[in-house]
Amino acid sequence: MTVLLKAADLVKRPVVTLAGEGVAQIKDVIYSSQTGELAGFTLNGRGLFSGPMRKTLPWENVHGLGPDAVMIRDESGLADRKALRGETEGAGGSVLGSTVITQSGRNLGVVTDVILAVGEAMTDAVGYEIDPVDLSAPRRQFVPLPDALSVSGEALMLPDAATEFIRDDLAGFGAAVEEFRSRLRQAAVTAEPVTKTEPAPPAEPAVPAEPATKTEPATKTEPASESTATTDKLPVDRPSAGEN
Amino acid sequence: MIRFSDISGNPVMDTATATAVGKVQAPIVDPVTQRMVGFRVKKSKGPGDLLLWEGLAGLGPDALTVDSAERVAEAPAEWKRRASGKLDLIGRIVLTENGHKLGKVRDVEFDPKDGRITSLLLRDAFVDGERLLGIGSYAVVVRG
Repeated sequence: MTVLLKAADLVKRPVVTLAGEGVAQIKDVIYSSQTGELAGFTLNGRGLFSGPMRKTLPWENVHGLGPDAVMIRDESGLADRKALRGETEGAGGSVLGSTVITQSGRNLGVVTDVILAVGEAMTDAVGYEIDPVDLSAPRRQFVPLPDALSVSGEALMLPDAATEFIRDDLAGFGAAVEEFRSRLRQAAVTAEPVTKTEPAPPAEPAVPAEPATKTEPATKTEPASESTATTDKLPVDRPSAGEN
Repeated sequence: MIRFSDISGNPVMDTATATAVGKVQAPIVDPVTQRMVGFRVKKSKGPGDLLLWEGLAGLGPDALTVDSAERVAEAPAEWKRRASGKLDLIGRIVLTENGHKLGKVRDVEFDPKDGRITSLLLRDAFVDGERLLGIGSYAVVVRG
């Protein structure tokens, strides 16, 4: 069971050891300044009037992150402030407030929050909540993230396909992220054949259909459109390269 | 297996004098061994209010028996904090180690022979006693 939640919703969530002791609550979320991933948390003490704690919680010390608590093994999981020095905190970070731009150059909006997918055992940043540029769009939209992306202080680049998977609410967003990522993976797999077939068409009329007629009789009755297509084009490529 | 609710409030009887020396108030559970440490006793006539499991002479459906009121004593140092009432199991929220809340402990079921915790009873779920990881001031933490 995977639950989607906003990183900002983690604020005020209790930090509990496996022994069942509440040791802190989440004050703010810290993102890595290089990758935009979750780096850890700053903490407040427990209780209504308790102030900020000197300690922080690095992400790698989180044992489990659920809708009701952030679990750590024991209090030694809390590190001092230096552990997260250089990373950026909350609203001033490199992620929140960044502009999301597609690879073809369309500005989608400004990141207002990070969406985490919290499973039974693991957590992954799967999307951003954005404040869209498009004024006719709803006030909040969710864009899916690829498995890995590059972040600068200025902008976040997303593949164009991401625009198809923008959702207005979190309910259908999990499925959209899945679909988006599987699409990107397929694209990565088929990327090479696609670039090969593109230069092929001009070569096709130059080379007669000899290799095709050789293979076709052998596999005539079979629904071999796919296999002949691929076997045809590979021999086509080579003579065309030789002619040029 | 018996449930704590079956014996909650039952008298603790001194077999030597045939008098009640207190009433069963709360179970004290060690999350490390997943066994009963003993029971907290209210209206104790002994020197303290903790009756250790080892001090029990009998555990029947209508009374717990001890051979002396002295058995209901001050908690030894190792159990002081656990027996203090601040870490009571019943009524505490249950979290999984992944931070999911399962509910509150309504009752606890244990083996009357050796005190092994067999399950925690929640409002609409059972949690196997072997999943117990910790009982703290914030929550009961269970595996999985």
